[in-house]
Amino acid sequence: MTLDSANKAPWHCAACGIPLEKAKVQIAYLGSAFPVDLLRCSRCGIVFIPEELALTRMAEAEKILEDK
Amino acid sequence: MTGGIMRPGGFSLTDRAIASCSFPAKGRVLDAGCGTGIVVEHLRSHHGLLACGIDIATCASRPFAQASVYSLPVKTGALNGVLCECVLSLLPDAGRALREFGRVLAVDGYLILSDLYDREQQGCMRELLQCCGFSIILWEDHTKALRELGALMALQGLDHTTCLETKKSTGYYLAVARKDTC
Repeated sequence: MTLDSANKAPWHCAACGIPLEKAKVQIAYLGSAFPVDLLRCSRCGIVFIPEELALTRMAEAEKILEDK
Repeated sequence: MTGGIMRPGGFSLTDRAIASCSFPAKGRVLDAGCGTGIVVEHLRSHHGLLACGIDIATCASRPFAQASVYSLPVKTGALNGVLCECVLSLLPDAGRALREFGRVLAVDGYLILSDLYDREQQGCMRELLQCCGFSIILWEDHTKALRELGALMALQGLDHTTCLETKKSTGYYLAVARKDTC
C-alpha cells in the first residue's frame, strides 16, 4: 500500500466506528514538533500513521534530528 | 513552521537579530539576497524599518533592485543595517561581499548574518568578519533549527540533502556585527 493510497483508503476507527478524517497533526520528537497531514478520529483523537510513512519519511526525519 | 520562508528558524532568527540591534526609528536596512522579498516585507511591517532588497535574480516584491552583493547600488555609509541570510555560504568570495556590506553601512551600522557553517571551524568566519572591519556583538549556534528544517522537508518528501549537506559538522549560525569606526 503506497502512502497516497493509505491516506485515501476508507479507514475507520475501531473503537468509535466512524471514518477517520484528514487532519493536521503535530508530530513531536526530541523537543521539536512538526505539522503532518494524517488521518485522525474526530471523536477519540486516535491517529493513523501509514507504515510506509513511518518507515521512510519519519525514519529519515528522526535520523536528521538525532544528528546521525 | 518556518513562517513561510524555507530557511532554518524562519522569521524567529531574523526577529532575534533585529532585537539585538538598536536601529533608529525608520532605520534604513538592506536585505542582500532577498529572494522573494518576504523578509523585506516583514522588516517593514513588523519592525517599522525602511527596508529594501537586492538580489541577482528578479523579484516581484518592492522596493527592490536587481544587483550583485559585490556591487551594491547604495551610497557609501548610507545604511543602518544589512541583512544577509542564507546567502554568504553560496558566494565564491564572502570576504568581498562583507567588505561591500561594510562600505554601505554607516559607522556603528549593523550586519546581520545567518548561514551554514562548519562547526569545527567557526573561528574562520569570526576572523573574516573582524578582518573586514566588523566587531561581533552576537554569535549563536542554531544548528537545531537547521535539523528541524531538514526533518520537516524529509516528512514532506522533499529533498533535504542540499539543506543539510553531507558533513556532520555542518551547522547554522546567527551573527550580529557592528561596523568599526576605523
